[in-house]
Amino acid sequence: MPVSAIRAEGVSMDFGSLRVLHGINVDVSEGEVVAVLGPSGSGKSTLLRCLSWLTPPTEGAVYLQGERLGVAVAPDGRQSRLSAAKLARQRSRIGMVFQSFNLWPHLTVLGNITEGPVQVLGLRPGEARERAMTILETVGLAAKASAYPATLSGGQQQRVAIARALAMQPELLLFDEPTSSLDPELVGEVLDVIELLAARRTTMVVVTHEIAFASEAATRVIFMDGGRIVEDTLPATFFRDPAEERSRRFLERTLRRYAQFGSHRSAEG
Amino acid sequence: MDWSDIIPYLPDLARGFLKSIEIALLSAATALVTALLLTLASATGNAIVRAIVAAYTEIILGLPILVLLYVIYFVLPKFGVRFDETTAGVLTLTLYYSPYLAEAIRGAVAAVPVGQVEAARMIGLGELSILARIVVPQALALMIPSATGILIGLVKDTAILSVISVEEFAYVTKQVVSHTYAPFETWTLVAAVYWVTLALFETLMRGLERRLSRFRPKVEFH
Ligand SMILES: Nc1ncnc2c1ncn2[C@@H]1O[C@H](COP(=O)(O)OP(=O)(O)O)[C@@H](O)[C@H]1O
Ligand SMILES: [Mg+2]
Repeated sequence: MPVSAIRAEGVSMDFGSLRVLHGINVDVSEGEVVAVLGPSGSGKSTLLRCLSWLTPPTEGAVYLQGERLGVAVAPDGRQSRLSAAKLARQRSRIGMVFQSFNLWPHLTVLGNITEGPVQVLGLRPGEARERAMTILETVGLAAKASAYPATLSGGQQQRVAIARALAMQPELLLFDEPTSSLDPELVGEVLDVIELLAARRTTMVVVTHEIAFASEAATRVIFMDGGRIVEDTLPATFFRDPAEERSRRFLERTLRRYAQFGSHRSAEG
Repeated sequence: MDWSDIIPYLPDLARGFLKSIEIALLSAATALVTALLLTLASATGNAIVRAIVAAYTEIILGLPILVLLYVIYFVLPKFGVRFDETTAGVLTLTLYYSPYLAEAIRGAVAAVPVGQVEAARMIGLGELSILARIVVPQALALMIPSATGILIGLVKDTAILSVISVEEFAYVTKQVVSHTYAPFETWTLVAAVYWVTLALFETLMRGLERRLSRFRPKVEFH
């Protein structure tokens, strides 16, 4: 029986009168690399934000390693909001990488990466620096430890953001279109890092438009449309023989775009 | 008439100048604290607190500072609230400038992208830590230009307190002129002192801003 890293049960999200997620059920096991595909506006970002409780869902529950996220359940079954401190602690176990990097510009690369380990995990600054340097080696940015984010390229900034998340030694990583705001020639260096993590069996949920990445590095593909999971299957199945008409159309559109502009990675060889 | 007529009065002028500086520093400090409280109240308070802050801001923004000063000094005593001249002056400057400073603070905080706050939440930082370690360090640098402009206004407006006989720089200058009959020389000197003081202040703040925002890449002009 695989261990569930994160699980959503009947997660629905309303913005005003608009329902953007409709009772999502998804269970990600340890070691899975889930690529989430779907047209713009289909609810992919909202799903990630519900999974991390940045946007608590209107309905439903999320479980992190079986533990209810954001909600305290009393022995008599009564539910209440989890205390801010406990929620913060839970969130620290989930790494999140955003499309827009969201590095803290007033801190150096090292400062960005050691902030969590020192402030949240209580590591001594020396220990945190050591941990940060090891991770920076992994993402190929050890030389930039004392640089400020503004002096880095987008690809470098995103790799620092990944390093920042990794430094917390999270139980899983959520990526929201990590390469979508990058110049095409910088996409490869970020995908390389994510693929390295995939090879290490890091549990990941990656919202992406990179078809090549999804088909090669993911162990599972989820296709969303209209706030619903339309397909949840193996990459090989999804790309060779999508079950749904909507997935088929999405794939055709995306592949046509690929044929036109080429894979982002071809630039890099 | 020549400049040497002023010399015997230089100690008086210096006293007035120092009084102005004292009032300005005190008012700036209380106005900044009040502004911070206003910002916090409208950010975290309930609807009633927010409405009170909004009403206060509206009232202040609709009043000339001179009128506010007269209300505090001449009207409030009718209701049994009495202040000495200096206190009335500091109170006026504080009440008048805190909404503007609150707006500068609010704008600077809002300019810190929400994504940075969410990244901090995902790392597990608490809301207070996020404020102290992520938002405030950046907001400080961001608010300096607008706050400097506002505080320069505050320093200049200390001269208004002369109308209720606070013995600040402008008030003392008027008295000196009535003794020396040298308005040209005296006011020229005083104007120069005001100007140099404010220019120094501005330079200082600009240096501080550069220091606090050295993480931002230098903007190159071509
Ligand atoms: N904060 C918000 N307020 C209102 N509507 C939102 C908000 N965030 C997302 N939406 C809406 O929810 C739907 C799904 O958005 P999103 O999750 O960002 O889709 P995706 O990431 O798949 O492009 C869209 O219709 C979007 O307009
Ligand atoms: Mg999105």
